[in-house]
Amino acid sequence: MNNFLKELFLFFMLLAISLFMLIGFFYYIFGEISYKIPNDKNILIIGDSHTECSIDDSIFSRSVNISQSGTPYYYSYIKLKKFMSENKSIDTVLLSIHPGVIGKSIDSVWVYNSNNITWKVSSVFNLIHKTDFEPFLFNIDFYLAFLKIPINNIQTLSQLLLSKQFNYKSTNIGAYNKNLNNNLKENLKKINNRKMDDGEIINPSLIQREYIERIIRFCNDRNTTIILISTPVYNPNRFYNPNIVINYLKDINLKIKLSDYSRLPLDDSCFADISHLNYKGAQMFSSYLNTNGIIITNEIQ
Amino acid sequence: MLFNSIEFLIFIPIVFTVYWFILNKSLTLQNLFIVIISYVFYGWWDFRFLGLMALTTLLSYLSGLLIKKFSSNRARQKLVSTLNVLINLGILGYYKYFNFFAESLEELLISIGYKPDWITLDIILPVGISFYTFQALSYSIDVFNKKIEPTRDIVSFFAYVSFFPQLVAGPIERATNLLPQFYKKRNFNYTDARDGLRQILWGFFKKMVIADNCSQIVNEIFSNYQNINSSGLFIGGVLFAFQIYGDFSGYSDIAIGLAKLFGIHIMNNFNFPYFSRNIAEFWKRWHISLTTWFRDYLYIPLGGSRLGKYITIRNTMIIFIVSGIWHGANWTFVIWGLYNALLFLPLLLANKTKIHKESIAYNRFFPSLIEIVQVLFTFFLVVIGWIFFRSSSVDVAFDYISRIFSFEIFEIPHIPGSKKILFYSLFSIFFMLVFEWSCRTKQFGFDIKAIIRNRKVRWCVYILVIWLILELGGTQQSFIYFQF
Repeated sequence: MNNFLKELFLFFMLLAISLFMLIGFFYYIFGEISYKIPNDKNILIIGDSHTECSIDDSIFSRSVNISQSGTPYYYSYIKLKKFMSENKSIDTVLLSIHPGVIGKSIDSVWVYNSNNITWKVSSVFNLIHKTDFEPFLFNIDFYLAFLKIPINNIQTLSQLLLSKQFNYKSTNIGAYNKNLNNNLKENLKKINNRKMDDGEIINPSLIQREYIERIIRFCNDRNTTIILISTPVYNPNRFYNPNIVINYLKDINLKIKLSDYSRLPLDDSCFADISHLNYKGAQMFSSYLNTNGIIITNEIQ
Repeated sequence: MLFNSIEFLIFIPIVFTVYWFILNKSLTLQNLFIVIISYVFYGWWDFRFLGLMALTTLLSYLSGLLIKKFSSNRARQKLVSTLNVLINLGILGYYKYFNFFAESLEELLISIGYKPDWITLDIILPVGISFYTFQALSYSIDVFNKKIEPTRDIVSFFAYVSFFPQLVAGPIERATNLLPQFYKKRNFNYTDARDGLRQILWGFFKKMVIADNCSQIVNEIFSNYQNINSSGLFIGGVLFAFQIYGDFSGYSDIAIGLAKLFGIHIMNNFNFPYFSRNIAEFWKRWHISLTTWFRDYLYIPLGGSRLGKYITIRNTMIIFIVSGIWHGANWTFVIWGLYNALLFLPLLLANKTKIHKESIAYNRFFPSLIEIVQVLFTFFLVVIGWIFFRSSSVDVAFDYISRIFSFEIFEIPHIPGSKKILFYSLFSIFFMLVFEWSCRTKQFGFDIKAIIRNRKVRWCVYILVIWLILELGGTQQSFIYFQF
């Protein structure tokens, strides 16, 4: 028995060391990555698939889009801190908001979903500080996600090593996504019988709310303009109730600027589905932003 | 409690420590501890069914005592044994088949123009009921057939029926093998424990890497099969073949390995079935504990192959169909059983069921061309059978299979879902086949001690396999056979 236990202990020690070295190697390489953006860019766009697919930062020329689909505000906050610390030129932050990300249901779909945790942790693992562990302190999936860093970043690692350009653009942190889909008709068929939520008050996700507040405070503390942006949606009269977002923001005891573009008139061919623009829509919307600037539709106290 | 869960990862070291360090002086305490932890393990899923398992166990225990009591009266012994079989099968039938037969009868009556005011019950199927019921039954039948002495030791008997590693998905043990092991004091055996850990590791690899990754693609393909081309559908069938093998043989490997850690030896359940050269060989290597159970307690009592061709054909059809029904209350399982019977019968009638006594490529590393063709053809037949097993209904299964047989089979397969997961699945299947081929004459697919003699290299391989489990492991899924 003693021999068995000794060998078992030795084996687990070796296993732990090997894992530590493997993951440590990724930390080391990813620690070399620069998050510096060009000096002529002063707008940082963070959020989920809505901003990811809607704002082409090569057209909206003063901006850098690091949004990524399925991103809870927790990860947007982590990305924001890093980019703000490395880029003094950023004076405006655009943060995606829509009814889909503020309700309680998002907790199980995004925030505490084990697959999503694995994906998101893998994409920002090197930016997570020990103080950021707080909301996931007792979440085993969060810790297990760190074990998946090697497999989820092996492609990025090879790109970094081959190109020798240790730039955030080579990572999975997020970027404008040129959405080539045109599934509006199929999407409409699927949701044909769905009624829009008539209620204007939503049962909010506490963690989303906590981190949207942190993002706003973080920007306010640095005198950076933070604007919450709702991107264009198809047939907003049926599918988008702006009061849900407005009422939600009213509950947050902070000054908030909202740019609600949900009702921006766009042709059907501009939509990938009812709530996402495709590349054509992104071109039009980004050009609009570039020409007209960001228009504040609501200032909420 | 799932083997592939965090709870189990905490549970097992605690149990191991108490078992070997605190209770190692007393056999009764060790057995009692096994009963308690087995009931905790089972109750973790749903404590309401603990009573049902205890009832099944108690009935078989009492039937053994009564059979002994009536030792001078064979008729009474037969009555007790029959009653025990009927009550246990009645419980199993109620939980597993009541709705199936009720719905089938309702459909039949509607088809002849009568609309019955039929009531179906919302019955929850207790996990592993088919496994522990069959295990308990084997005891009372063996006692009746005088293959084993009835036991008075109720703790040992409860430990035999509820032994947690194989409680919910087998292997279905025989009283003649397992029960006597609970009568003797277990001493820790280094070799057994080390082999056990190796087998557990391999089981986790098969379950968490192969089965859990394949299942994601298989689910996409089977739920959307009408929009997928022939070659994609065929790949779906192949991946399901590996999913169910990884899932079920993975469970068995973990169960056998865990048992070894506790000083108990349970029977092998899989013997590299996908290296079989015909269907008869496949059935000697797949779910061995169930096929031998049906052979010993159904096929042979019905006359086996001793009473002429007609009876042999009848008996073969019976055991395959019953084996199908055992898996679940769905016509797809019945058709799956029938399909396998039809493949098996020609070999049986031509007396070719035992032509492959040795494993493939015996004394060689590489198989011959004929063996490769035989293996691939057998695998193809098995895959077609799995499509029935996996499909939601018989109509869907026939539609799925008919779509495979078209010229699109030569096209590039259209496989929905993540390409990354597909790559993980194919890579892990290849990895498994390399090891299982190398160890095909051994007890299990990762019995590498004989093929990798250098201990340091072996440890590196173990670490590599753990890395693969941690990195490639798919989303946690329950074991397929829990539903049976």
